[in-house]
Amino acid sequence: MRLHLAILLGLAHLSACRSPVLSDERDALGPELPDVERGEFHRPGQPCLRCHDSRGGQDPEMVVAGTVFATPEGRVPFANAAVTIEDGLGELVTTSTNCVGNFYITKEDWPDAVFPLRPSVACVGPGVAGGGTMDSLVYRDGACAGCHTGSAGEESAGWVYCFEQQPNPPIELDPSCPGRIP
Amino acid sequence: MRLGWIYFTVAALASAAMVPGCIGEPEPVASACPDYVEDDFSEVSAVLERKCGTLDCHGQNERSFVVFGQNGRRRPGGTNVVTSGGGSGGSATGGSNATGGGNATGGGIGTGGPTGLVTGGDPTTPFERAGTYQSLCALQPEIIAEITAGEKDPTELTVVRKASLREAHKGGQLWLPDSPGDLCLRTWFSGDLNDIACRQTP
Repeated sequence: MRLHLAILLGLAHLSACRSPVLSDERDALGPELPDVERGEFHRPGQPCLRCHDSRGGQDPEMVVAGTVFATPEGRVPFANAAVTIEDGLGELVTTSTNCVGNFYITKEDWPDAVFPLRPSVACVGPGVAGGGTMDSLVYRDGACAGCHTGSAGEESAGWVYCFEQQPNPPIELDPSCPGRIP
Repeated sequence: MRLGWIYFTVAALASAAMVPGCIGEPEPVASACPDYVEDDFSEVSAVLERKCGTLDCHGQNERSFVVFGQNGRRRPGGTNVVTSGGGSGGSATGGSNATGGGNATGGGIGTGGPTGLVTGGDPTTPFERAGTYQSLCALQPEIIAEITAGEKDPTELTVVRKASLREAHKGGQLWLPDSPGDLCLRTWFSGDLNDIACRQTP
């Protein structure tokens, strides 16, 4: 009887703490692609921190994460872009994108990161270099795709990308990459 | 049975009494905000856009305080006439940066919404600044009225208090009390704008 009561109380507590806003945001991301395992190659272009932050509950917890594409349209991921994040105290942390364009910095790797953040991206393609530094700062949302999603518009800065146009030869997704763009 | 009718009647009367309290609009009150002077407010707006108006903060439409501008949310509708500079690739990190190529933030490109303005594209328009002004002035109109009447200090305003962390703020401390940003906002509400402080705000 006591055990039943404890379980019921535990369930009630869990449901009381769940944010419907966050749940809706996560639900809107849709299911995993059937042929891509959960991990560093999944869900390119989606706001990683909707799940990978202290409220999302998925490991690893991330400070900042996103996806870099080759061009503003076409959604071709750019591998090996150097992503440098400068935090509010001037500390710099650099990482790079994987074959599906994803990058992330975990809370474990950068536990004392101080917002606001200023990200920059450097890309080296075949005979061409690109990238740049964000004009504005990241004050709260470490999920790049929270603001950088789809084409640029009234409420989006557009995808994070390297080049205005595809270089020659064009950037393509490595067929051996475990991830893919939905 | 009779008791049930009594309960029902009392409940119905109570509900009827509550309805007038929920219908109708409150009487409009004229804004006591400092007058919108484009030259003055553009200084304040530039600070608000830079420090508050990013898409992950007060550039979000859901906020009570919404800031419109070049690197945040663009104001839909109306007439967004670009008055100077800007244009495709017009950001500081656009095609002319040291590493060449485009702007990694996607600024200055795309087809945009009905107004044609995109985040990171053309400079903030007067129409957008007016939208920010309206949002700012609608936050606490009663207190603003007392400030403009000289009865209260601007530090009574939540927007001033949050930015300087005199009051808890999810976005953290944007500037210290009495720093240029704080002075910019406070002096504008007081009707004696310190535009130099605005320009000194990092």
